[in-house]
Amino acid sequence: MNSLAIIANNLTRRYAGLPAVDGLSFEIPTGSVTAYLGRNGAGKTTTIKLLLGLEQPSSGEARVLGYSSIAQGAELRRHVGYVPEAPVYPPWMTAAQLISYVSGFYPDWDTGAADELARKLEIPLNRKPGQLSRGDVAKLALVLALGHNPELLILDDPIAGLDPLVRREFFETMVQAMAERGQTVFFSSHLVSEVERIADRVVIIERGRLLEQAELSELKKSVHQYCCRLPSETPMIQGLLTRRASGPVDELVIRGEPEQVIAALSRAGANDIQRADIDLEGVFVALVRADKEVRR
Amino acid sequence: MIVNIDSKSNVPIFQQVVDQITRAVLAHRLAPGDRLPSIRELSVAARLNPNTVARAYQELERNGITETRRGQGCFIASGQAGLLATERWKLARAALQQPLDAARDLGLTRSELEQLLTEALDLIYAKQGGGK
Repeated sequence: MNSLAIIANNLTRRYAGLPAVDGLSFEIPTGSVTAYLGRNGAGKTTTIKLLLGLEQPSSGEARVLGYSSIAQGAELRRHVGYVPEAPVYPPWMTAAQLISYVSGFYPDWDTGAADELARKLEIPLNRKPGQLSRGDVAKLALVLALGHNPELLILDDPIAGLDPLVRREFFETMVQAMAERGQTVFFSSHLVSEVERIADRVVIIERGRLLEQAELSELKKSVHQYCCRLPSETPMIQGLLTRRASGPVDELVIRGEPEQVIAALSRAGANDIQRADIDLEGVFVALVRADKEVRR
Repeated sequence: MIVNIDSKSNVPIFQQVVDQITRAVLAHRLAPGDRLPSIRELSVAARLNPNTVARAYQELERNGITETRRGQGCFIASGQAGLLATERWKLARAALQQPLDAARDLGLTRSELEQLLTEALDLIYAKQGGGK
């Protein structure tokens, strides 16, 4: 088994000259659960299509489970479960017919397990896609993605637009599959707070470029929020991501060891320094804002 | 639910699982011999990454709070009085740190804080019917 399930190497994809994905490199260890985070239009869906060989890169390459995304797309996709962003299914097939149709593409399809999962998720199997709710379509996509016991599950913003109940069911099913089979999971989302309990790694992109790839726990350990009063003339503070005035108090998000950061803030003349917890969403926003600032 | 995870906290999720199960043992909500949910059961029920739960369970076993019986699962260990005493102090100290810091930030002097604590303790132990 490869120790890396996904390797993206300098992936670039341009549409009409404009880069949607721009020199993107990252690695996903086998067995990890990675949240792929970015704003709308950051290039998440394009990346996933490039990984799966559904689109060809303008330059660069990707390897997924050891297969080349460019040259071995069909082979690669047989080993991957994929939940697309907005699944489109033939309108004339019922859910049951669709499951049976898709199973034909996979020699390893586990009919018993797939049917049981569909029943457990209460998908109305005799209905056609047009008669299914958004939640049921998402669940159906998950059943179709898990049916052949893939080593790697790639989900493109699977929970966008789902109600909390379905979202919960969807995650429970995902976690169950992960626990039973030790699958590697790579899922994109812009609902940052939802992914925090499930992911152990994050890859963050902005404008098609990599902002961050890290263990989630490491990232949360290294970025903190501080409130303090700063003098109007402040020297550069190392690791500073964002600074916002809230009345007389400054709210800063800073990367670095808390003790060193607090020492640096004191040297800069800060008073009443307080450190506050920050969640992944806060870290994400700070990283994206800091990136914007740099581009100015 | 055996654990209640706060994903906004800076305390890593695996550590929250460790702390909460340890706390449940200290508070006698879990007793020696009780079986913990399997990694799979807990990760699905709490929607947590199974790797995270596995790491927490390893830590609990290393701390001597639990023991794995082959083929049966993970159980609260018995005969750990000394160990639990240490854990009790560790968790209590950690739990008190934040309110004590907050009180100091409010500008309380040491003796004012001592007075406040004495009042609070009197109240708590009077309710319990005159403990030590």
